[in-house]
Amino acid sequence: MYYFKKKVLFLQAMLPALAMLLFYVKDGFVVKQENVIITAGACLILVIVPLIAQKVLKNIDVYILSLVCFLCSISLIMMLRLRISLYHTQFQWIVVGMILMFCTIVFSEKILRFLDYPYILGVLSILIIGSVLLFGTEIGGNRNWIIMGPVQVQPSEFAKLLILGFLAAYLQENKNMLNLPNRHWGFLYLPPLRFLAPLVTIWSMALLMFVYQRDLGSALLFFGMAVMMTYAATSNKSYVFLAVVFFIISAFISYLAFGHVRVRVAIWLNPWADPMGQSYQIVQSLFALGYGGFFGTGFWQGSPDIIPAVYTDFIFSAIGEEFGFIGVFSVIMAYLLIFFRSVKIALLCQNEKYKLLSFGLAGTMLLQSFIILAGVTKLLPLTGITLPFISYGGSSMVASFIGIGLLLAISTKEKDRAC
Amino acid sequence: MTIKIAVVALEYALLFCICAFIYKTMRAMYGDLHDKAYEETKVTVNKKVALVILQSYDEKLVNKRILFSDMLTLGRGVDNNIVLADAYVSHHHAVISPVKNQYQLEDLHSRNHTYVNEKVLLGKIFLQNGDIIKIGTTVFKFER
Repeated sequence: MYYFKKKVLFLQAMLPALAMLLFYVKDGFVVKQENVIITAGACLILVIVPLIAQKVLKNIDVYILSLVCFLCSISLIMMLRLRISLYHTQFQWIVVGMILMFCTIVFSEKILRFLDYPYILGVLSILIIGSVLLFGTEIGGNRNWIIMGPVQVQPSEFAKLLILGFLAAYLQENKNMLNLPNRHWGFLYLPPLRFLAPLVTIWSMALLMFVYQRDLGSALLFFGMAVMMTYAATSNKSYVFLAVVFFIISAFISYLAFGHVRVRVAIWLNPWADPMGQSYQIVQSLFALGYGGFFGTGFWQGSPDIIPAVYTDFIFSAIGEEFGFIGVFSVIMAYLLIFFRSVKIALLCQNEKYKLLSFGLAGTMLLQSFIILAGVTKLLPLTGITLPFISYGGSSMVASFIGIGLLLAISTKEKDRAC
Repeated sequence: MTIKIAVVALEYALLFCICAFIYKTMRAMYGDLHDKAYEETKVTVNKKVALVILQSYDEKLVNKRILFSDMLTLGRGVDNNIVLADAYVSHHHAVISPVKNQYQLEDLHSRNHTYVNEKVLLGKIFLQNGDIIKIGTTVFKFER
């Protein structure tokens, strides 16, 4: 770990400071004192948090934490650039997320004990998703918000963590049952149907609810998560095949049944049919990415503000326009490096539940960023979900931080035992 | 003019910071991996455990010891580690898997059940030295 010199940590904290300085040089009279104070605070926190974590918690994986801080600083400077009114709130959510992350690490013994009761986790997640059906309100076309007093919560972000816990615990306990084939249907090797039932229930429940809430991104994410975890636990390709068949059928049915799905696919196939209307967002995103080139237009030089929802779903296009290929590459690399370190943690785990859970957390983060990056760059039909740690949004930020907290707690635990 | 130069300089500084951070982190990780790869790995000795067959449908099998350290599957199907060609045994009857330093016996919802120390096994159990396992007409003793 001695390769990781302390001065590297200053580089990520330099980002908000430099951005603020740039803002000041460009038009100093607009800069409010409040924003300067927030920037100073952000710089301090981004340096101190990894250092303290390294000191207090032995054996913590410091790479993951500093990469997360890097992504947060990118998020902050993009907020400063795109929507200065959200700069304050985003900083607030990052601080809340970091505090919750440390709480998760401190109380990890108790939290991870829930893994012994998988059905509680499963029922809780279904309750959370169900509560959205009853009390949910519609914001921005997705009916997946709950308004509790002053805060709006997106419960699916938290249900994600619960479902991951359920899948890890359930699959570990029934691994032998799921893996020893009793039935041969052609080239498929499957256990009796009654053992598959909870899995299929989770798949179809998640899918149905999200299709009903028109939240296609989360539906895709949940489905991918379940398939990924099942394959990781059983290493049986029959499940992947079944899932793909199930996915194609349900995609086809929802294409026929729902108007908004048809619109998404039509935009994906040919955005130039209606560039000023329905596909305005994706067309502007493509222009922004193309305009960025290799080095980007330079911070504050591009015009990403014209993309609708640029500070949440389309923040990647803004990064692509202002920092170019280099910035985009760095962000993608940061996600991949976090994934790499997490898989390393997972491989070192002795406890199989922790192993599955840490792989699931890492894989979900990577899958989520893949889905939204593919949507923004028109590789896949656009499905609106947040880019973890970068997009604006309290629920997403806090849930991602709790996930990273769990991952770090698992890594410290396993290393303590090894020594 | 100076402001313009300062702005451009700051823009490149920002880009440089992003690149430098990713580069440094990657190098640090590579160094870590490199160190790990050339560390001497400790050799772990697998302690073997054994199943002794006390009774069986086939006289030749009696008093045979089966040594194992990894997962062991029992059943009538030919893909098991121990094949028991006995009508009372299910295709995939039971499995013994290592959990940390212990061994866990799991009944795979077999038709005629698995018996440990004369009791029906529901789900899973950690095996102790000297446990008597009955599957179909075959009786094993677990030794470690």
